[in-house]
Amino acid sequence: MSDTRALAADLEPEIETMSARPTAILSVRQLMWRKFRRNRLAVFGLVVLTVMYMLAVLAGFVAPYGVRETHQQFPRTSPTVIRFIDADGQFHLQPFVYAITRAMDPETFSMVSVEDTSVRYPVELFIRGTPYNILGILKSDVHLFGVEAPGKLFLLGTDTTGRDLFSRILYGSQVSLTVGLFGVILALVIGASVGIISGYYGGWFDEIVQRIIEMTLAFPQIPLWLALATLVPPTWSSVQVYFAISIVLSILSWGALARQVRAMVLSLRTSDFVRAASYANATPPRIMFRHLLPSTMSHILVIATLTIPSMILGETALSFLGLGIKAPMTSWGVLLNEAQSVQVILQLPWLLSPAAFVVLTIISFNFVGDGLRDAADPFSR
Amino acid sequence: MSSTMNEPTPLAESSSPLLSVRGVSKHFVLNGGVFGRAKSTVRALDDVSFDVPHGASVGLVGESGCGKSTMGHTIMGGLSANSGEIQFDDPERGRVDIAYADSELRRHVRLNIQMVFQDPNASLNPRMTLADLVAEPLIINKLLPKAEIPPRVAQLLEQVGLSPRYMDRYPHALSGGQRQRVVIARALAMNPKLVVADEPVSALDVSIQAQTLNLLKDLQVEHNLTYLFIAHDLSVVNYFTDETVVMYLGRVVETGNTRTMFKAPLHPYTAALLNSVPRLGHGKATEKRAPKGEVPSAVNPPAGCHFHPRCPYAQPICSTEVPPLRTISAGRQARCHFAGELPLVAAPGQSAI
Amino acid sequence: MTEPNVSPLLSVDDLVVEFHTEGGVVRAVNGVSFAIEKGATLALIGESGCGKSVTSLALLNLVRPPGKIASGTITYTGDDAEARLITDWKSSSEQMRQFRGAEVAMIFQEPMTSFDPLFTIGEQIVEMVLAHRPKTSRSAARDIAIDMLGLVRLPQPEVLIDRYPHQLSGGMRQRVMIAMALCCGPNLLIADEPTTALDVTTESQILDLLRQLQSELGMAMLFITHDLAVASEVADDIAVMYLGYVVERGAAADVLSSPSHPYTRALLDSLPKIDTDPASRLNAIKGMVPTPDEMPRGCPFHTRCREAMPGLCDQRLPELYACGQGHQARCFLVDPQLEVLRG
Ligand SMILES: Nc1ncnc2c1ncn2[C@@H]1O[C@H](COP(=O)(O)OP(=O)(O)O)[C@@H](O)[C@H]1O
Ligand SMILES: Nc1ncnc2c1ncn2[C@@H]1O[C@H](COP(=O)(O)OP(=O)(O)O)[C@@H](O)[C@H]1O
Ligand code: SF4
Ligand SMILES: [Mg+2]
Ligand SMILES: [Mg+2]
Repeated sequence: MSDTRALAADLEPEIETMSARPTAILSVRQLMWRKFRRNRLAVFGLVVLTVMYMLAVLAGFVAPYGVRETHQQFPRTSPTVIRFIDADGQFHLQPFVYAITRAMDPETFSMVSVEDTSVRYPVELFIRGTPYNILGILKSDVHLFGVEAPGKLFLLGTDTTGRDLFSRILYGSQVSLTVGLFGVILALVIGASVGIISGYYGGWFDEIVQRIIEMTLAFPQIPLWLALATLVPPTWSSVQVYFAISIVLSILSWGALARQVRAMVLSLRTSDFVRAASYANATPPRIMFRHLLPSTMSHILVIATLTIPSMILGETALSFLGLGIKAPMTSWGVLLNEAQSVQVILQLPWLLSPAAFVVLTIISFNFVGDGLRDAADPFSR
Repeated sequence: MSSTMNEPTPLAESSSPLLSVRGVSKHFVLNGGVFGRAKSTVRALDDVSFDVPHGASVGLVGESGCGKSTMGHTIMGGLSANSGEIQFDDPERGRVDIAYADSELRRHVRLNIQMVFQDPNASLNPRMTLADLVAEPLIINKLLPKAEIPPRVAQLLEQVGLSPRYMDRYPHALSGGQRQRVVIARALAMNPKLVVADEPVSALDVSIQAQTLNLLKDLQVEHNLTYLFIAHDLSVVNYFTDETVVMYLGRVVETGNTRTMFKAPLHPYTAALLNSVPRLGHGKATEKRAPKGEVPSAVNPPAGCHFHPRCPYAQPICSTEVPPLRTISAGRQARCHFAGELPLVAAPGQSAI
Repeated sequence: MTEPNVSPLLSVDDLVVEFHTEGGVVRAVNGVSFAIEKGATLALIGESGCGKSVTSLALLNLVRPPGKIASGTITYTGDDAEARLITDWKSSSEQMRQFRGAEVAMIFQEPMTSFDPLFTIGEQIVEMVLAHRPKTSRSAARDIAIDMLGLVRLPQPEVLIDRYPHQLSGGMRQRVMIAMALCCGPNLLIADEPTTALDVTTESQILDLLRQLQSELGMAMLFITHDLAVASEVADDIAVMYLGYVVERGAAADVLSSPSHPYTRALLDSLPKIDTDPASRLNAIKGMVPTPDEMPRGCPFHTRCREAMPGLCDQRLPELYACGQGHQARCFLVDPQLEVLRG
């Protein structure tokens, strides 16, 4: 005993100096975060996504108008221009918009919206308007910005029935950004559990699971989604449809995830620390969920992050084809569905703006996924 | 049982060894070829027999791929033997065969047999703190009430020379030598009788290697441990072990008292290993007597004596007949047709291995 | 050993290599000086992380960012007796590329990582030959490759040449690596722990081979190892490194039989010997090597040294003091002024 005490004393100063090193006290998760932060694009993606999700939650507050609010006098109105300089060339510190009136287009003989430069409405912050509630708890009618009635502020124009597109995109993001998330969580839980169990036990269970996964992966994605989506009864409420669509989306994604988790588990299963745990009498559930799951978690997150975009696209595609989310619920796909005809695109190009949000979101998720992939292995240089 | 199985090594000091391995074989079937049809078999362990006496350190040596780790994992129950017996002298249940133990017996026996691995970076879960790592065996086996676990963990860490103040550090904050100490603390948590140490110092620096060997020796005295010490560094084996088992391509080729064996080996392979060891103080022009060639493929080992293609003393019989593991003198066995008759010399200047 | 007017093949003076990391500047090599005579072997020994590999990479100007050679000179005097200052050359210059391989070649611990798994070893040696002798025809280069494989005592070189790296054993791969390194007839072979990953038997074969090749080809060697016994079998001279410093250097026999630095002594002490009493404890060095970013003040070894003199060793950095013919140690104990310093 005295000998080992002496040993302990020998080691003391050296551990002491170690504490000066920042990496010495950090957990793996903290190391991963340090590494993630070094990837500029990933941080950019994370910021964009954070803003997107905040906008989705605060849609009622940020959107100047309600989701179903129609402005019957102003269908097909192009985006309102926010100005600082008026028609007389005078500068105004507070931005303003001109009033919109309807006029006959001399060429097409149809009614179009034009600016009436004689009336100015200043853009104001925290202005009262349509009542809304946030997450079903916070009721209010104060909006982030807007103009006094009867002035109108259509940031991204209006659709054929006179609904403000910007407001609808914000409300639509509530569905589009979460349907993927919900689907991924579902796919994650199924995929990770199946992957870990089939990787750990192997044998017949693994054989069967692998065949099922191969089958799901062999199906062409879009037709299968279509087939499944048509099974959703038309009588279902929009909330039911929303969850049904998430499940449809996850049905095809869990397989790929389970495969990757299984491959990781197969190599970890014979690693020394897993063997050490089993030699300490750890039960299979403990090995799977205390040792294998945490070790694969970071990779699972990477896969999940990279799967969300395809789910968002999936929802968009289904809704675009009219088989996904249905009115009165709104999603980016639903909005794009309205921009389907060439006619509309030529005359009302602003109706395509939801696509920009889709692209920005997808790119951001991919950036974040790449960053996570690097960070998942925090010990490499 | 099988005819090639050997009578137990007669032991001077005690009647029954703590562990005795009898005729253990372990085959791995490899799937090759395009459609997985071309099956080939690796005989990683082929009729292996040896004893580990109570309180002793027994070395298991041989070139890489000769089946040392496979033997260790078979004893731990991580791999199951194809045939043979592994008798363990359990403190509570007496002699039990653990080669085919059911899960209840296996769980019981594991309280008494623990393993230390070669690569300390790989044998600790990187996402657990030192406290969690050392406490895990205590929690799983409900060895202590919850409240007594932290003080016990602190005590274990102290025993291996680590300050308990750093219990909530993660393994990556430690050096290789310190990590190996954590692995040892974890093994000690179960209060084992037998520790299977699979190359515990091979990955460590020279100065840390000496510290770790000292620690293992101290713990052996304090806790009355028995070691099966797997290693390939013969000078370490010479210092650390009482008896040595030499393996070649899955077979035991020589067993016996370490120092007697290293002075006068009975098997040409043991002699070849000893002569290959680099030595201090003989200057640049040392003429070596390394065996020619390399270890042949374990999938298709040479017929007869596996060592015959590399053996300087091979005769026609060596390539046709498998030599039995024979007792040559008290406590010494060798698997060579001519064991005891060959002019085997340990290298000149053995004294400075 | 050699006449004083013949300059050494390679001489390193006051070499400093720094890594600019997040945590600050790390000096991995700290004022290292040594010389390698033509045809001789210098062994660089020390524990992992002491800067052996970085030193060897610096000799070929292969230190990659965030590392760079901060100061010091490396002078090479080849067959033409013209001294060339390698530290003046750019890492990617044509001069440097020709220098690597043709004058100085290198082999590593794990040969597998130095091969391209998609090409046969023959193709890789041929590429190497063509890179340095563009005028050679492919078939002539192949003949050279077969000769080289024969030179490193590989059986049936004409068959082996069409094998892929993964089809060879570790020892054979190391031989192929040596063949590849030697195919342009270098004057200096840098071997970075070439036998560490091998079994003793294979190690001893490779050491035999290197010794034979050295006497056949007359090349010099810089042999990096952490194993003192291996060093004693291959080296004419030894330099012991600790934390980026050379702490002792001299003829191999002198350094190993009368070590003058406490670190060298402690290393030798901590090895189990045949006559070490198995019941005794080994003479271990206490503590562990500090990382270079926590470089101790004063003598780098004072935190672990049994003979450290408080007030001296923890304050000032000792120089390399002579302690015998061509034998120096970086320790105040061999400083002729020790009594004065102790006051
Ligand atoms: N899981 C496995 N599957 C197939 N072959 C294996 C497996 N484990 C070990 N082997 C083979 O068994 C032989 C012995 O391996 P091992 O026990 O690891 O040797 P050692 O520890 O002595 O280096 C080797 O030929 C190796 O390739
Ligand atoms: N890419 C790098 N970045 C930062 N530090 C490095 C890098 N490569 C090497 N080092 C530092 O140089 C020191 C010496 O490394 P090395 O020469 O590889 O040691 P060895 O003696 O084991 O070959 C290491 O301890 C490390 O701190
Ligand atoms: S049996 Fe024959 S080949 Fe084998 S070791 Fe003995 S002499 Fe050599
Ligand atoms: Mg092994
Ligand atoms: Mg190195």
